[in-house]
Amino acid sequence: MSAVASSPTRLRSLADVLARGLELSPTGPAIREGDREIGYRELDALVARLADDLARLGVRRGERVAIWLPKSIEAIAAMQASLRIGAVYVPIDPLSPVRRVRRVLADCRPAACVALAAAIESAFGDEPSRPALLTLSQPDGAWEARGAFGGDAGRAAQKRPAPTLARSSGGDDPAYILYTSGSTGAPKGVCISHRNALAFVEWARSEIGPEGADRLASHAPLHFDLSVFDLYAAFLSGACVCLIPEAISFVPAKLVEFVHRERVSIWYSVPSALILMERAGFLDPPPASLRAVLFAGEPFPAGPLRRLRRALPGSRLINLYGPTETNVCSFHEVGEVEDGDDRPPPIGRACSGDRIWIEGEEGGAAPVGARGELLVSGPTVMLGYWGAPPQRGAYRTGDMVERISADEYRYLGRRDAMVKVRGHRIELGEVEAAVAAHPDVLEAAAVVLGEGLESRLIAAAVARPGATPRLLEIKRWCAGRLPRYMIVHGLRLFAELPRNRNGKVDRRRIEELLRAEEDDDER
Amino acid sequence: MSAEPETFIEPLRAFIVERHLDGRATLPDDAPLLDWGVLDSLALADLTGFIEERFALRVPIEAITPANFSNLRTIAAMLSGLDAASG
Repeated sequence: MSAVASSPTRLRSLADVLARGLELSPTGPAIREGDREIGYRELDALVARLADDLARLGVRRGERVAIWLPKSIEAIAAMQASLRIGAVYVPIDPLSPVRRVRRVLADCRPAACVALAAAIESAFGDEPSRPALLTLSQPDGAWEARGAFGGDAGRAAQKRPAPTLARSSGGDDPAYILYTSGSTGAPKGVCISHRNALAFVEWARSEIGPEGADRLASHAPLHFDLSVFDLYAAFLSGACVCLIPEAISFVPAKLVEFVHRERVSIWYSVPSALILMERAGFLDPPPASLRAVLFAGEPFPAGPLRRLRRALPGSRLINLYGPTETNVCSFHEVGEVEDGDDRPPPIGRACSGDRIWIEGEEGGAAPVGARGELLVSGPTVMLGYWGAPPQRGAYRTGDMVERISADEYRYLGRRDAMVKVRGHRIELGEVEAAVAAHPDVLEAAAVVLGEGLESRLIAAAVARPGATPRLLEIKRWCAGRLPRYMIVHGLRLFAELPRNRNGKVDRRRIEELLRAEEDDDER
Repeated sequence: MSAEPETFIEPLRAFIVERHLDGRATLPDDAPLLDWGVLDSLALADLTGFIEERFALRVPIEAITPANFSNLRTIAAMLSGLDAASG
């Protein structure tokens, strides 16, 4: 409790968070990855080395550093190294195809890319336009720094003495960029400042109160904003973060085993993962180590939540809400989940210093029961999308909500074509653009069938005359263009797509037709 | 005695095609199952459950790697190794 009582000075840079962890737990573990573990002191030394490498490669304050590594100690160290020299890190989805990675790199134009040696060759070869590279070879773990131009120029750059490390940035300077699905078919970079990130991390620290002995599970991938809590709430408290390998992130029996083996005390994930774990024996008996379970990214159905609540009477269960653009801007602490209440928990009341309200009702004028789009303003609202004009004023979430008390809201649904599949945010337009580009497809629409865990992304397509595209082929095609989580699960061929009166493809009608078809199959 | 990798391939193929490819597909031994999104994270859980039940093998966390689940052959080779170890 002493760390809380001493009320540390306000942080200015996200780079200070790891420094705080080092102060609190110099000899304690910072990150566990399988059977590997790194302590705060060793992590700090690795970060210092990588920061030095990046500075030697010529990365300056405000420039981007793309981090294209599997979720690992090294990836997190590279993120911290980037912050330490005042640069802006961009975590790249390791499961994205090279074509999309190149699109992201072309958009954020990084000064350097930290990557596995093998992966970077597949993406760039010896292309002159590539960024400077800091590569990690596996399995020996050796790092190599290469200048932007390779060859002699690159080697000369390495021999230069390291410039004095840039004063780290902070406040309203950008700290990282997270790429999400864009409605026009191109990924969008959400640019988050130090102040944005710290407002959430410091709120989370005071609300959840991790301590040095806590073990936080890191379920979300590093390019997904849920991971911001896992890393920085742990570091700010001198606690340990335990990385869950991406491959087991939805293999429930292995997740349950992981929680027991790593003695996880604070869990944070999308509800889908928790629901699967319940089916795999997570609660019989529940892990004794678990003192808080946090979830976000999609509504948590009442049934599984009630079971979780009753199995863990002494643990805190907290629903966090907020799009990547605002990070967590509201929360709801789950109390008793009454029998007969079949609604998911509310998104609750504002947090992280933010204000939330229903459009047109600024000043809290909306009566209880009012419905509308949720707006957010405050310290966590992003700087803007990378390369676009800065965000001004309140952020419009696109989420429809209902006001349920003086300061609490409930999520109702989306007002546009953005969908969530197991917490991953997907713009249907981006999927449609990829499927429609297939040579055997004339036109395509994408819809989601099923809810929550059962959600499946289905492409409805009109084939070119004489062609019969198959699901495996469409998956292979999508895989070259979209991140894994946007690859369609199913394909249905239509003679023509239903349209509404304005001539626009009617996704709702397609959903109805496909649902009716599935009901017939079950009969 | 451990089973040869070949003995695993056909049941795996039949399961994946039936459950995750609309029941109709020619799925080559070397088709990249993860890269093409044939196995997403949920399908991976489904497949692991099938393997553990059908072949009475326990797949440890360490064995659930992208390399092992890359295609039908790599899964079969891993299972053959697990079978030998439990042998």
